[in-house]
Amino acid sequence: MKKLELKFLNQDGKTITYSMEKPIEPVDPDAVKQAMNAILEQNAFTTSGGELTAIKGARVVDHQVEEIALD
Amino acid sequence: MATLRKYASTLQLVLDDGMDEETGQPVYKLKSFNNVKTDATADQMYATANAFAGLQELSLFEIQCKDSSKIRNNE
Repeated sequence: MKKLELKFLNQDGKTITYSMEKPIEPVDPDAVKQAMNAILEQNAFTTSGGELTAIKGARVVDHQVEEIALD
Repeated sequence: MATLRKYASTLQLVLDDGMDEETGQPVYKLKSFNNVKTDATADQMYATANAFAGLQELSLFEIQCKDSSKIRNNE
């Protein structure tokens, strides 16, 4: 299962990650950047280390599960 | 006089995740964001929710905001 992770920095310089399941693929870097800028601009979040201040990065994480036969 | 004071807000995206094949009922998926400013406006939350929703496949059915408040007697 794939997840899109949006990473921001807060006022303390710590990384805050928001993740969304079922990302639209192929991921459009411009669309991701635009959305992250909109989130920063709206400034609706606060964290223990203050407001979000900058984009740190974005990535798609693919979680693979393999069942192990135990019989 | 007792007063109500908001101390936390949660933004929830209600995403349309298709139909339950057995019951025929629509299935919704909730995506919550806990660390919303208690003074965030509806405009701020609307734009933020849409920015997140636009990056994933499911369509945004509705946006909810849940506030938690404490009631205290100030006398």
